[in-house]
Amino acid sequence: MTTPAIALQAPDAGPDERTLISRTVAGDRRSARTLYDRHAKRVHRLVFRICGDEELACDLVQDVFVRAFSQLAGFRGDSAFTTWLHRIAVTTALNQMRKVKRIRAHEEAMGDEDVHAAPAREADPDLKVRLHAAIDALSEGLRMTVLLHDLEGYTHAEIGTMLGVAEGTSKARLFEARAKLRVALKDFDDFFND
Amino acid sequence: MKDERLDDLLREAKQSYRVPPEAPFDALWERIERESFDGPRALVPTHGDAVVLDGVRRDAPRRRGWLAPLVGIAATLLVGFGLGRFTAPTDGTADGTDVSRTVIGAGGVLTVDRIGQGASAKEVAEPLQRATYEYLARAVALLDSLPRSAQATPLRNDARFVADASQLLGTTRLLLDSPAASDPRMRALFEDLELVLAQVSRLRTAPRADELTFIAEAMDERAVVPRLRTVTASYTASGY
Repeated sequence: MTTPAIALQAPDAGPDERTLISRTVAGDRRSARTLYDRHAKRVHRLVFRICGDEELACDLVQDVFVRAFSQLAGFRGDSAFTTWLHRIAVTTALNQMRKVKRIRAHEEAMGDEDVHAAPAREADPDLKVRLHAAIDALSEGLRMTVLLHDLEGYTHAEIGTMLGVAEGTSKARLFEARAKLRVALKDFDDFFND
Repeated sequence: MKDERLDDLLREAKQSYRVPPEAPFDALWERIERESFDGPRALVPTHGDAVVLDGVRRDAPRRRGWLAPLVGIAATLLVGFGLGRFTAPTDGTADGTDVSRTVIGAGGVLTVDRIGQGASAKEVAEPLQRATYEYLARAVALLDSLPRSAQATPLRNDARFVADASQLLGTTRLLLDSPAASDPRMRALFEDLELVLAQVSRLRTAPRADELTFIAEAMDERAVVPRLRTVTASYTASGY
């Protein structure tokens, strides 16, 4: 059974979030749908940025909300609902990505290297493309920190909550990640100095 | 490259890095609604703010299959405990407040309900705390013995090791679905443990170096073992 689709709402429209959460826990589908409408787009962007695959991102959005609704009774409001939800999104996406990595590693071990090989360096001289590739090449912890802090705008405290690390760890990772990005883009220094 | 220029690039990347295409949100909702509200695994409201979790997680049926061997553990976990009293034993419910109870019945179905006023919180909390302490101690022992690279000491008794990890993974998921996870700190720990144990339980007899490295990185990034030790130490200090 499907409730009628309703338009995506602004975050501050309609009942407040706590009310929606209580009603959802009590089994109210419409409140659950409202929560979904308010947050699905951002969750989708977040998981897509983590995984980079359209189909997988859609699956992840579903997994995230199914899991979130199943655990909603345990949400106590210690953090913002968005932070709580996005923590589930990050955990779910990273878990899935680890499975994908294992599968790809297996495929490459079987001789399929070319299928997933990164484009040659000469093929992407554009700075933007190089930056994206450099972000992709960061280790999981560093990439997630850059993604969440610089691209998604989370604070280090929120990132710490989402990734289960200390706030200071998040700051240190961002510092390290930026250093690696600078090195990766070093070739463009001359271009900017001109 | 200067910081200012990198800042500019990253600001631009907000708009350009992995920009998702429009998703079919209405279509995606159908499965979410079906799995969250229809069928035997749906959220079922009960009296008050207590909630019965009848296998609410999407993959609960799959779990029930492998939950069968965990009946022994389930029996151990057939206990109750007070919400909010998870990490510190108390002497009772002097204020007369209700106490919640976790019940794991046949087939691994986990429910949360309330027991009457005046029940001894200590009475309902201690068995689970003891079981949880033993579970955490086993997790520390297992993760401590996990080699961090293929060059390190081989896995001890591989099949047993993986079986232990699978059993702990099952217990972790039971705890995640129980009020034990209502403590944010414990929930975060259980979730990270779930992730690591899921990886360990899939290890092959001769794991590749990258598999072990990957698990080691996951543990390090989340400081899983130090957090486990901190929690077990708090239990030990409480007399467990």
